[in-house]
Amino acid sequence: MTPSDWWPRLADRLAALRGTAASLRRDRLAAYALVPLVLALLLVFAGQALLYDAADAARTPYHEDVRVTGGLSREDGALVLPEWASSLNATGPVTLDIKLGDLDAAAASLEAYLRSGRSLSGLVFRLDASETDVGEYNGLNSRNMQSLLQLLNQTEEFDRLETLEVQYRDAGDAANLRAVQLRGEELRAALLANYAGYAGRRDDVVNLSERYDLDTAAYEQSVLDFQAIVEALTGRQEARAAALPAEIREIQDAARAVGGLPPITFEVVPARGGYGDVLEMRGTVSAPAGTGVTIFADGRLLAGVVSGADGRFRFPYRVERIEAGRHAAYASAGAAISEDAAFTIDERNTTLDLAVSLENEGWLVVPNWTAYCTGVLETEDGVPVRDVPVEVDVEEWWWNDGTTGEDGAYRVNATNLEPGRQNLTAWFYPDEEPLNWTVSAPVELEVPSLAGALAPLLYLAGLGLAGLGAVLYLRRRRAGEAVPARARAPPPEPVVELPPAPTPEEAAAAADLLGAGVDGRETITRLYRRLARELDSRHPREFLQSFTPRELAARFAAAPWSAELAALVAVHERVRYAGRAPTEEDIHLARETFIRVISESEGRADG
Amino acid sequence: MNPRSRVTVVVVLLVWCLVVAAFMLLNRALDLEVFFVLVLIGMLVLVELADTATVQPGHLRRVKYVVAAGVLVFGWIVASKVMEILAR
Repeated sequence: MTPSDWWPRLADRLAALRGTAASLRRDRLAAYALVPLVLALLLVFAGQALLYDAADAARTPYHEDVRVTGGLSREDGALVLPEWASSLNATGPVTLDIKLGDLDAAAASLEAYLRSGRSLSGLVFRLDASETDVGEYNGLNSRNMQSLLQLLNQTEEFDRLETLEVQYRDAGDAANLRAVQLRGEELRAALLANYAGYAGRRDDVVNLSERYDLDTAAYEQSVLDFQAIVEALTGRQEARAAALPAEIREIQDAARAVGGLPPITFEVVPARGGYGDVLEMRGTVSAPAGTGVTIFADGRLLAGVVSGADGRFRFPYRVERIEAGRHAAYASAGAAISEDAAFTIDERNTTLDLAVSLENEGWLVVPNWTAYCTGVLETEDGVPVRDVPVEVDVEEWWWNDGTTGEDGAYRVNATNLEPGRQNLTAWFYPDEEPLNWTVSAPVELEVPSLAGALAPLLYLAGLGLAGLGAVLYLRRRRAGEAVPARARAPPPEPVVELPPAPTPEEAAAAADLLGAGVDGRETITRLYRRLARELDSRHPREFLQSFTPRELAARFAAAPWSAELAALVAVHERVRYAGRAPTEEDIHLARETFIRVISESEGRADG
Repeated sequence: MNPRSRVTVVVVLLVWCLVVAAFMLLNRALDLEVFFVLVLIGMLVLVELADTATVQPGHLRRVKYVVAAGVLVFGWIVASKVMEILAR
């Protein structure tokens, strides 16, 4: 193919393209414009973090995957990590001070640690980060705070026991020395359990903290110091346990020498019970009636009774504030101490019911919706649990506490409830009682709100406005079409006869006749139609009346009055087809151009 | 509106629906209300672009009834959202 062949083909192709472009309509162009819009949207959304799953997604400023960071976003991390590091570092001074025996300094260090922990908990709550790594660390840290608080209390208790030991030894009080020994044993067991918990959390805390490059040296040292404290206190208790029996024997030998060591027996019947049961603690003492007998349980003074004429004594012990498990009790009369009597307390399940009534304690505009919660706390076998706290939660958040009465009934007011649907539950957490925790069945409340009362109106308004919008949307077009000329049928067009070559005056008279009694739109329409008929009559066999206005203007483009005809056609198109209201200027222009064309056109001579 | 334009409108509306659904899925936030509102906006824009000044094809008139019904549902959604905000 030669270049001379290419050129016509290229020209044809270009012409085809031009034709395509010309045929493109505005709406289609706009539709094509949506394509870049969609691409722009893609670019905007492409920066969103959650679109990415890759493990290294958080390496760049625009790519952050909170799942990789355990749910910790960059903004949250900036707030939380300093508090996290601070709480880790605060553990070291507490255990170090306790280890060095400076309990005042330890209390101050512990207060700083608790402050830091509370601050972290506040952040976790505020950022709603309980399901993240921070939330997990916060849980571990809360238990560590509890451990160190217990450690300080236990250390102080050990010191107190040492003071009491000296005091009772000097007073020759064998019974209380025995109590000190037993309480020391109990304290040692509690201390070992506390250490096991603190050390058991070490790996979790360290692994979690190292994930965020936090220094855990102070925390790890605190675990070692805790261990050293436990070893020291355990050693002290072992020494005490070895020395005290001999000291007690010495005191008893001295009492026996002066006849002050009467034989004493002691038993607990029945030896097993649960909450609300009454265990009889009884025995005999070979001493005159009215001899004072002191009963101890787990090294704590339980009751003081006096013996009867036959030397018998008894104390009905109602099981309430004592932990479940095995316990030891003994009785003493002066220096005489009975053998230990073991008894077992069983743990019992509890039931808690909840009834709620809702009342407004405030005003209509400033309401204070209060839920009056009542119910009864009982053991599974129907024994009322008395004088224990019951907590009422609203949507699983603590709201208020109450205390049970003699019959296990409680009454708690949950005030200032938020409007909306609320679930209320009552909880019982045992403190020292041999009972299991329990929760009531949830009670759902619908707390009224001003917005709730307005809801029907709001929905009605929303639907009403939307309906109005929909109707206006559908009628918008019809309103545009409802121009006066269409609404009222125009009067019939007068028959205006013109001579073959009308003068401007005759043409003007015809124009006036056509525009008489009709509005501007109809005037312009009639002027154009009359002109088209006139031109058609002057150019027979061309069927000019079937031409569109533009075709008509194009037909006479070479005539001397073509500009006037084009102007009339333009005015006619605007008014007739585009629906625009004609102005005075339009009417004047149409009239003048009509006169000019009618008076100047001369049949075939025009073109 | 010639048949080709009609097809173009349908295709563009379908593309718009797919784009909205795809991004909702990617964002793991598939919300039927938001989807409905976005599709309604798309329909409004397309009907406005496809509409002509002097004539109105029958199918365009019917689409407008669908849009008007969508506006009613939109009113209900707006009222619900206002209620949600007031209830907080």
